[in-house]
Amino acid sequence: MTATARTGARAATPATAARPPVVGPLLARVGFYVFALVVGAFFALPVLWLLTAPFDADPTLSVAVPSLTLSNFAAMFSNPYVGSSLRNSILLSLGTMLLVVTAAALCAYALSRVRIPGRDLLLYILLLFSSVVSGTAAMVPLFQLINQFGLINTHTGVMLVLAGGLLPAGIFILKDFMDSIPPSYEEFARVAGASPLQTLRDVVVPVARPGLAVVAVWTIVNVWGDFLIPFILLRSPDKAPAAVVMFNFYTEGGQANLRLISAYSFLYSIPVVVMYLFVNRRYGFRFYGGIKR
Amino acid sequence: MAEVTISALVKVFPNGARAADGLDLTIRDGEFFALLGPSGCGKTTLLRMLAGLETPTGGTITLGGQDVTRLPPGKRDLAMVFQDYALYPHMTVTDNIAYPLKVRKVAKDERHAKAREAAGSLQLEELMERRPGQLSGGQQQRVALARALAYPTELFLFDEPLSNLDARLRLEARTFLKRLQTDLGVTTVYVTHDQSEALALADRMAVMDAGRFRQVGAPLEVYQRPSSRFVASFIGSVPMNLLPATVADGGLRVGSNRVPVPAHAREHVAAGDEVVVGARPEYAELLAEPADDALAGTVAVVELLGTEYLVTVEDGDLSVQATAPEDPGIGSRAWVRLGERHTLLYRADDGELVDAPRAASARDQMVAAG
Amino acid sequence: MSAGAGPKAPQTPAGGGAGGGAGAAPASQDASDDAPAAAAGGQETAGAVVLGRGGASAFVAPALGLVGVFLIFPALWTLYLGLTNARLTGLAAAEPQFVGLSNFVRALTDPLFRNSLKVTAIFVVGSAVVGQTGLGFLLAWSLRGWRGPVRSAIEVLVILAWIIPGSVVAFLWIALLDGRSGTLNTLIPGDGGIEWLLRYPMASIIVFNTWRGAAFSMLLFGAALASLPPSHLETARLAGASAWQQLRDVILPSIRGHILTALLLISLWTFNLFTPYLLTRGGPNFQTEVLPIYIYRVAISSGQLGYGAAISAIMLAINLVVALVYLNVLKDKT
Repeated sequence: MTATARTGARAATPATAARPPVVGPLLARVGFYVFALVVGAFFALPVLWLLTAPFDADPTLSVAVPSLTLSNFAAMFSNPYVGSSLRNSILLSLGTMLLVVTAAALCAYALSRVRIPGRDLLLYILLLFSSVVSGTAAMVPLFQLINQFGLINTHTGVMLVLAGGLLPAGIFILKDFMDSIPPSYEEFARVAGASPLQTLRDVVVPVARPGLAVVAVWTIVNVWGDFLIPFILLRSPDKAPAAVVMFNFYTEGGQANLRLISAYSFLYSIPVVVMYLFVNRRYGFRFYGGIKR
Repeated sequence: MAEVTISALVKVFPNGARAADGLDLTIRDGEFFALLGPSGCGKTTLLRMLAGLETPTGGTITLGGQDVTRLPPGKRDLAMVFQDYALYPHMTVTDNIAYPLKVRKVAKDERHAKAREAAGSLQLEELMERRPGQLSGGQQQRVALARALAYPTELFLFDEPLSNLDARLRLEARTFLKRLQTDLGVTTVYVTHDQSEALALADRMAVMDAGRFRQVGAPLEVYQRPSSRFVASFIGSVPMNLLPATVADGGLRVGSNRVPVPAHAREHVAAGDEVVVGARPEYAELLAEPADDALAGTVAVVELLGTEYLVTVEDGDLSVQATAPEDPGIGSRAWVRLGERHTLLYRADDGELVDAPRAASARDQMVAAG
Repeated sequence: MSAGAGPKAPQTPAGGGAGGGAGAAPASQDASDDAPAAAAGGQETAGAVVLGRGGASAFVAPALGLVGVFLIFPALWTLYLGLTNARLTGLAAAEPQFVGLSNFVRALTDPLFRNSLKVTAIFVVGSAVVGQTGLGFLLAWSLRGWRGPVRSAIEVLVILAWIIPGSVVAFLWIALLDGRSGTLNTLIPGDGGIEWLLRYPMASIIVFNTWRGAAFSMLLFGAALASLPPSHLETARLAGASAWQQLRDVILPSIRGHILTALLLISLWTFNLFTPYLLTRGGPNFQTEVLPIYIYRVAISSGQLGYGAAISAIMLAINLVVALVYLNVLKDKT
């Protein structure tokens, strides 16, 4: 530590006389570590509970060194909603993901390759509406619409609404991706005698696979965490996904069951963290701001 | 093998650009035909129309006597090599080369054998299990070539296949390509913006500009007798001398000098005509002594070309280049004799070659054809 | 490569990590060498090789159908619903009456609506503009140039706060801020525990949301700072500029576009955020009842759909203004 500080200072002194000498780098280093400590504590403090309580035989609301046990996880499944809610979350995530990836991929490919009249206007409208119409601002008409379709309290209704909201961003991500694929890939396949369908299957889909995977994971993460839409569109508790059931667990009257809540939170959070790590490792963290809405 | 005919071919893009403006051409069976021209001249569009990747606005294309104008690309029995090679990153070299055969439902063993065979002729045996991302540019280019060779075709289409290679590799690949085409004897259309590639490779070539053919002919003919100033300035590693001149007293006044009118043009010019004298530096002679019919000046620049020197001689606004075996020394007096046999005259107004009476000039023929 | 530039996706405001994943494509030079002609036709008609216009329309249809029905139509329908007395139950549920602008008039005179507007403004300014954008920039700025485990650890923590599901983080904060046994109170000496969510509800949700969303602007500014040419800073440093002068004279002006992008997007998202409901459900005594919660209460809980739709329409109008400004910023940047 001292050694590095000293070499740093020596290197800096002759080069720039105008800078405050010697103390500068050391001070900056100390300042950085103080800052890192404060910020790290701020961001770590709320999460710590999630790491200790699930493994504590007798968890409280505060962070404590746990008396290690896995019994909370075993006990958790005696609650009927734990299993059903996780199943519902998986169903909603995968269903919406299939809808979004399929529709967005087809649309993005066509928009990237074919000059459809009014394409630029279309993209602008998509962009505008996807920024303007949020689930909260449109909760009334969405609720009414799903009601009219007779889809209230169905997973289909939730998936359709979520897909509609996520699609524009998915289309933009994939169109960006398709634009980066040289058209000569498809042209060669066609010259070689492949049918349009063969070309898509053999060339376009495999080459676009990383983009499809990014959109798939992005959709799953979004649906997995979404609270509002299933909260307003689903009635029966046995249809509710984990986001809603989690909320019910800690707002229902009576003493909150911390063993249940902690273990359940942990289990419910794991998939998104794993998927984040997967995307980060596999494709590098490509920065799509719309990844959270 | 097949003969390619295009007639009255027109392509207008939605933005109004005319990439093909009434093209007529016959490419003979087994011929290596180069399409040469600057960016945007329409050469790539013509190639893509031959491939079926663009649909002509008008006119017809026949391949081996069959009208293919409206046929989809896969039904034309042709192979194409793209500028960016279009190798599939998710397939191995084997699978890339075998892909056209897979599309043709050739059994796996057989198509892999054919792929190995094609790869063998291009020294790719060691690379068969690699992916394109693991190959050098030259190797990628050869894989693209092998992929075109692996299945039977009537016609090869090349879209600037060497332009992504570095200069040295490009020369090697060029020689290889020429040998390959001679061996196979498959009709080949080759698009390039590099005039030296066209001259080196082609049996015949077309120089294009603004969607029209400016000259069609054998490379030597195009090199020696460019039919217009445009072609003259485009062809040749060393640019042709193009000197403004006036016809006077049975000769040509170039600056303060006087040179003879080339024999083939003598009947077609009259005193007072404004012309441009075209003469290649390679045919011009650099003299250290004053001589008749030579342009006098001072040596301004000397560049070594390898076996000889390119010398720039200046006299006022006039600047002439000639090749010479010896370095004459900058600042020395020098005389340049253009070499009458290879000197051409172009009309100053329309840039066309002076070799026929005006009424039947090349340009009018073009217009009539279009 | 893309010929018709079109509007740029919001997903890639950083420019840094943008550009899709060209990872798959090999050394692909710009294939459209045959300039003006191919620029218009090349890539565009290239797809026609596979699709053609009819096929393209069929490909676009499912997505546009979904977006049209579940995104665009609801927005327009809100405007109509806002002019009716539609209710969730009862007579007006079956046959809503057209009531003109009376919902809007009612909103203007409703003290709770005005309270909600004020609460929302404080929440957005506090947690989006100052909190997320400010802290995110501070993080990106301080971490810039550092490598190693400390930086990685901080980044992981910040991103963790961003990706854990909302209803979980809400409970984590309820636990943290609990009056009797919350971690925060156990850290503070003295025995009188503070009920943070009741005593300081607005401050709590502001700090909560800052914590929750700082990752986005940290990543955005991180990419922006990384894309600055080092020579700019070196020039300033050679001229003897202090760290503060470098920040003010070199860095801030060159990432102005990113700052504006971050401010607008984060404000827009925060304005539409329903998550405070999970912490406080708008209470105590409406002190944290931001507009989304207000709409939920009047429209879904109390069933006054028409009135709720009118409020939604106001919200959409505000969103529209912010989005138009944002799209203009994007257009200027590209």
